[in-house]
Amino acid sequence: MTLRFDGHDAYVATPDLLDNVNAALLLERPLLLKGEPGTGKTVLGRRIAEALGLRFLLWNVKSSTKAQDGLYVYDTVQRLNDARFGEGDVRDIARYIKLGPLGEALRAEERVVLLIDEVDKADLEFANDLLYELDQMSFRINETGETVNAVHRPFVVITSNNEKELPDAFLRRCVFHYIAFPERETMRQIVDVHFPGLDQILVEAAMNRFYQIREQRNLRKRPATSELLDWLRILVHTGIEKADLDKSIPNLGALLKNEGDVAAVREALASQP
Amino acid sequence: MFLAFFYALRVHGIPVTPTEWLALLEVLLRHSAPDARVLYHVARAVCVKHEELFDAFDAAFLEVFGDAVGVGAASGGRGKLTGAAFLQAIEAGDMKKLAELGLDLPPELAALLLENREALARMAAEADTEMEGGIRNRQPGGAHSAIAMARRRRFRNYRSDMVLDTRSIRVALSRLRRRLPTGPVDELDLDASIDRTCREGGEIELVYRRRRKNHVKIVLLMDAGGTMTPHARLVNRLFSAARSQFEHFKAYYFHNCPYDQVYEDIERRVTVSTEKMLEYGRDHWLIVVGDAHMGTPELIVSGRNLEGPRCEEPGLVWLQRIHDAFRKSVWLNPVEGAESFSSGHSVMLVQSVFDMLPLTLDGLDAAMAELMSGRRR
Repeated sequence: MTLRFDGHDAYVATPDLLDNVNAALLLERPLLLKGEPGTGKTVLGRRIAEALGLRFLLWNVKSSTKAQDGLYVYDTVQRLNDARFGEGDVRDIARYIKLGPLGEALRAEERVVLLIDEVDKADLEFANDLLYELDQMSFRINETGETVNAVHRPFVVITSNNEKELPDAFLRRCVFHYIAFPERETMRQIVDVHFPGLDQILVEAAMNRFYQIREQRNLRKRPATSELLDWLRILVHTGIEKADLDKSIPNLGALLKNEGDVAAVREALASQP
Repeated sequence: MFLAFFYALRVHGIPVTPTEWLALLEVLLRHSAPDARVLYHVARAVCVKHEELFDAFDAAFLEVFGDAVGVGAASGGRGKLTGAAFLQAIEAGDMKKLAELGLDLPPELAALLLENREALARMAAEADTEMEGGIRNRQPGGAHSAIAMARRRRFRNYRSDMVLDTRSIRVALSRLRRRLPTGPVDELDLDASIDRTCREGGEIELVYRRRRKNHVKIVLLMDAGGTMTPHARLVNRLFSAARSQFEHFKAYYFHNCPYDQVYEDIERRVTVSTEKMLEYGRDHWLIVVGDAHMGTPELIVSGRNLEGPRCEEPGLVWLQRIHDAFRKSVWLNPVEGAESFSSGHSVMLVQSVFDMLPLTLDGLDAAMAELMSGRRR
């Protein structure tokens, strides 16, 4: 039976996003998500799992992560140690096989959602090394000779920040969704979801300021959705009024994380009436 | 019409493969209510894997489906790329004909297509009718809104939005790597450790090995001052990215064109003989950064160097000498479009010696690929 994703109460999904998630579900292929940092790539994986009522597994990729780590790790050192000090049954190799997130997803009895987060952080060959396992949804544990075949193909969501080019062979197997930066209308819905019942006049003034900063050309890192939400949380907490926002931008540090950018925005503000 | 879209995508430079196309057909056939909007989104998600290509996709979409609802330019002139011709070729099992149609299939895919040709032809035909029906009859607005989306071409400027900051430069530079075991002896060699331990009768013995390190060595030669002043910040970013990326890294400066001496500092006070720099050519690779913008005599007439004592040999001779001394080299030009034909004589002369690429994200990527590829002019 094909699963269907119809959105989530706590996540504003645009129609194209829904279409693409459902296409990936239907094809049983990995969904590759790209987009500006802070536009909700990582959150989406979790929300899909919640909406579909599936178990969620996270594989957080780091620069030192190897593809093999995601499948399983054979803890030889522990085994050696046990052999030396005579603890446990060292003849049972299976005791020293520790499954990684992908391995766990493939062995799971039920269908799960696996988020491979920030795939581009790893070595260039990382994605290539996963081709077979993601295609066949099976892998072999060499040490025990066991082959793990997924009973239900896990739904794999992969996020990338474009730091490294992904290999073509890998891309061909994915359904690709680019999270475009939300337009004003969508952004208003996102704010509504996170801050229900917030004073619309304040929201309007804050969004004006936010888009004003985003439109400034010379910024190194433009603030994105997550920065706006953080900033609004501070504004609500400190009880800022619309009138204050018209005069200045309080807590600019929540929106801009680069001192050069802060200076540039202050300068632009000072030059305006 | 539907298959024409496949070709239109390829004509617009989107490397869509038959497998991806079949995947798209599968979604459309199994989708409960496929309409033009779904087609637009899903086709993009399945066939396009780079956001920089979204604009090309929009253009292709408009060209093919724009006609269906009476908007957009007439496509025209692409007679041979019809779905019917494709279907005929598939049905006849004629791979040569497919090749003529512009589909260069890898052999295993061709075999797959041939094996499934009946199912494929049926699916394609169904999808064709489905789509045409879809465009005309589905809920009002569906097709038009898809066309409208394509028309907005909102990804047009995507590429130019990218800032070439130190981090993105480093990412590009990180393509240059040759990992050789030259690092400190501090990596645990598990296999050897276990082997030794067994030989020692269970007494744990740890064996370490040499760490593998990036062995790429780079000389960065930068034009400074004069017409390069507007690009100083960009060049500076490249410098700091390269310095932190490569352990073996040397930087030199010149003004307009390097002659018998180059400089160690950007203010051009400390000179060093070019011959000395060329000694690095044995095991270093060379990246030159400059706009190659100067008077032609500086390159081809002797004694026209602007700085230092009179140099008897013209600039071009020195450029050739520098180029030949290094095993691999590339020239990055920060001036937009400078490497095209329309730029000045001096640029063309420099290009006769060095491979020249623009100092943009794309150019940097291409330059790194060039250096890694092992080709030599």
